[in-house]
Amino acid sequence: MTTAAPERGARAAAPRARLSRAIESAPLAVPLVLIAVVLTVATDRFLSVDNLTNVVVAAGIVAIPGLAMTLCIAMGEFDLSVGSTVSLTGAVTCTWIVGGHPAGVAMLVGLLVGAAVGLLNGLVVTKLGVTPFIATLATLVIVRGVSLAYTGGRDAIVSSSTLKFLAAGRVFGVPMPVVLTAVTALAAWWMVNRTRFGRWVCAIGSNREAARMSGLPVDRVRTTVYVIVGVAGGIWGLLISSQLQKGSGQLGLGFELDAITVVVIGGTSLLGGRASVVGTLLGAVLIETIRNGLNLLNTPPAYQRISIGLLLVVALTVQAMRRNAPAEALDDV
Amino acid sequence: MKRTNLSTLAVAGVLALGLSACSDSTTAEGGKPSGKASGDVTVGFSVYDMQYEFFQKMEKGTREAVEAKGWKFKLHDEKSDENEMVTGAQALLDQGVDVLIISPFKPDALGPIVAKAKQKNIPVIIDDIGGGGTPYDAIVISDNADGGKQAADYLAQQVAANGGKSKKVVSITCEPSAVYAARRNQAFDQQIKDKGFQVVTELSGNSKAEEAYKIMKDALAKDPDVVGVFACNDPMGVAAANAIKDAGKDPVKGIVTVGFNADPEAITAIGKGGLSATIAQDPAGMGAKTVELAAQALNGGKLTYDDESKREVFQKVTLVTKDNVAQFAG
Amino acid sequence: MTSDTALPPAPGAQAPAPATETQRRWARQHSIGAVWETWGITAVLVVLLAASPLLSSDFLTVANLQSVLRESAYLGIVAAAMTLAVMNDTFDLSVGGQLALVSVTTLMGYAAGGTGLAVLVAVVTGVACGAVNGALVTAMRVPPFVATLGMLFVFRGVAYVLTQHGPKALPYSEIGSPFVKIGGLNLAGIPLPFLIMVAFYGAIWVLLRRTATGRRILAFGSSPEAARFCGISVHRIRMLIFVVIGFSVGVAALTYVSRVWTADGAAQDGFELRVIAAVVLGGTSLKGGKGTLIGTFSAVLLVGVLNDLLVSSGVDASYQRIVLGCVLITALAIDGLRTRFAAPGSFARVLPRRRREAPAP
Repeated sequence: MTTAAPERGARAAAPRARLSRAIESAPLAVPLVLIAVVLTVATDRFLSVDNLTNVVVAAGIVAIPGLAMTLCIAMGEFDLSVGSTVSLTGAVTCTWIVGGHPAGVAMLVGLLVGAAVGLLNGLVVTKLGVTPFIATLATLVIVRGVSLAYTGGRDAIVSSSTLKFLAAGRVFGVPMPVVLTAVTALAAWWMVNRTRFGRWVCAIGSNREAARMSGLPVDRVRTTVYVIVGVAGGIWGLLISSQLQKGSGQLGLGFELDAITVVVIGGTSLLGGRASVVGTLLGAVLIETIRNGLNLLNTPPAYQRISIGLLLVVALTVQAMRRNAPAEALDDV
Repeated sequence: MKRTNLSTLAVAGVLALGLSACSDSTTAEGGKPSGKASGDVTVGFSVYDMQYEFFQKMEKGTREAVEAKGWKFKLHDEKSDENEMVTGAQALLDQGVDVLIISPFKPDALGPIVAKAKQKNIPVIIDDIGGGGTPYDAIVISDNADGGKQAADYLAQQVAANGGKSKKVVSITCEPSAVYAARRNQAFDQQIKDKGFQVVTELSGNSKAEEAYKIMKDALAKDPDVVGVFACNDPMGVAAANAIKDAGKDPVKGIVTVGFNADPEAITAIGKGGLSATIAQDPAGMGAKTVELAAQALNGGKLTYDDESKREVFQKVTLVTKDNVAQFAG
Repeated sequence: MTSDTALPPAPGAQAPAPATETQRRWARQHSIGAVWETWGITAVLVVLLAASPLLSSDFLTVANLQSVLRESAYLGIVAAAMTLAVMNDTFDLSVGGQLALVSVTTLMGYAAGGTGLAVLVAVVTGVACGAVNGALVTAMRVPPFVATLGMLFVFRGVAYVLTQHGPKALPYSEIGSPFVKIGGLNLAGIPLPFLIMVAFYGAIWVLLRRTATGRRILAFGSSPEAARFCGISVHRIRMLIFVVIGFSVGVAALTYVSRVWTADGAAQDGFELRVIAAVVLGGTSLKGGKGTLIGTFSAVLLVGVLNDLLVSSGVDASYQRIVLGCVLITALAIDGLRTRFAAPGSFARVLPRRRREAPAP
């Protein structure tokens, strides 16, 4: 379920390698099952339909930006501005709804704003040559400022059934966020494993200069990935605003780390060159299961932070130790 | 390369010289006498964070009261940062304000500010949050504990009216560091327990709506028969109400939901039957009170307190329900 | 000549040497670009200071300048150590968590044993945090980005656990304590925290320029393969860098918490990003191998001055963010456009382009 860069492509086609790649996501299933067993024993409600639905919906919502971030990280880059995009998208959409526009139009405008933030990131990174980590750090600050200035520090409160449907509606009994995540995940899987674009993304992640010299449209691919992350951040913003029925400059604070965390725990290497779609999905489920479990056990939030931090460190240590050339780990990132 | 080192020193040296050369010029203006005639008074107001509507109202109330007296008004926004709070409030003192009104982001960081004000003989009036054990001149404070108690009383009464089957309630707290806001939940918990209820879930939503939404969803999965929820602020209260709605329940008739602050989103929700109640503070009124106290302090007169020993002036909190929500709209 | 940018050139490089690569390097170091690289942000700072009376009448007062220097110190101290890390092509995302944790333990230390113990606890906690990061990166071989991202959560989490019954604080009765003087004292009109910051920059400069270790730090950042080939131990250097960062946070926390008097798990959220922003704004390349302490020093002051000007001229907080973000992007864009194609292995493509763009700063 992971894909490799072209130079590793030949090997990747071999069935044995494909099997080993499938096993790569397996280590995630181990803590997931363990935690599930512990929670089933420790609380009597963990396995209830309501609770599992909560976990899956929450995981699905964070997985959508996570999947876009997977592309970005596979390309060897980061987008830190996604939390601010969440805030701005929700603020714009809700303000348009308050202004009397149809909810559908408002949501579309919100997504366009998300795409615009992505385009801005892409252009700053490619045309101005600014390191992505810092460029998106700057846009994180700027977009948050725009969101606060746009709302003037006041919430845009809505009561829209169309917007509500996005987070709370059901299609054939399946919660909408899960449907959206499934569609996003299939699209991401297809893109990464079956399209030229996906191969290009991984090629750029493996060696950007080599990709450039072999004639790939590097800047265009990078910009496109940032736009995808922007749109995914926009969808995230719509989902949050749908749940809370408001847009505000206060929403989405620190969300960028949530999105990156699920990708990293999912096993996509920060060195770039590989993307694990299934891993990101599992990572999101794992994180949300832990959070849900600690909530069920009435655990103070301090311990939630510690456990997610430790999980990150453990996940990465395992990842690093499995690599054959340990010194390689120190070269990048 | 040696020159790099020298130039680093040179930069520092120039700055140092510049400073020490100037330092004589200021000694003259230290120790301003209080009891100034009105007309050329400047009031410095350091506000918690202007991104919140609560503090926007507080700023408006303070500014209008200051302008009504024909005084000058200087605003500083702490932006929810203790470093900015200390730096900016001390800067106000350096800029020669005659009185400092402050709603502190971290009351425990008031020490260095109050110490500097004492040195310059500038009165300090604290608006809400807390005084951090400093020798301030007065503090105007919302009665957080009373608010939590009123919330519990109303919740118990409404649960009975709804014919609630269980005695299980949820309490959502602000971030752990907000010790003064925590009094709302402490008083609520105590009062609701006295009424025979049981707090089955108490978790911190870090004052954030997104987190409160998830906490409420999880709390409902854990105890589907919960009959009431109290949240430490309105963004979390309204988020909890939305989570209850999304779980297919009614946040007024099914599960009594009470917030705190009377933010516009809560007022709107109460009007539409999407939230049971909230506790209104009066930030603009608090602002006006601080200016009155400032005037008393500047005239060198005695300040009028509600609690003499703690130099406290109380601002009442009011329960807002569907019955009286119209007064709070707009 | 005045540059502390880039790898220390080989002795022969001071005079035009026959090797073309050395020649190019010499030319690069003496071009407008190189001067800009080291002094550019300092120039911007000077211009901003010169223009400051137009923007805010209150700015150029002694009290205000002291205030800016005093409050910039903690950021500046950590930024100096972070410059080392970035030159070495790594960075530490956990400094915000470290600052919160060290501030909390320092206040606990003060409560238990006064100023002496507080200082000791600050340094020990800081170094311990750094050692944990260093061990993860070297012994466990976790990539620094992720190790420190994880530890950011862990350090903050521990600070939260220590303060779950309320923030740690200095009681008002301690107003006369020597501990408070660390953050509040002025020596000849200069705030002590700023003097500590200057001393710290001096120490880091000596480490970088006068010791073999410093040269190894740069050498590794500039070309890991070459450095490894020369037998430089990556692990020992990385360990040292993380410990130095931890130590710097210990010192910074002293100047911070003695000024602010309170700390909890949420203290200075986002500090790590401000530190890295200052380093990059100062002109240190995130690609490693080159950096400038003067630039970082000036960038820290620039951010402090700009923030002070925006606050005192009453600019709305949301616009303050927008301005600060745009300044960062502009600074980076200038740097980025200049070094856009400077990635290793693309020299062939770079050179013709470089020549055309040569006069550009």
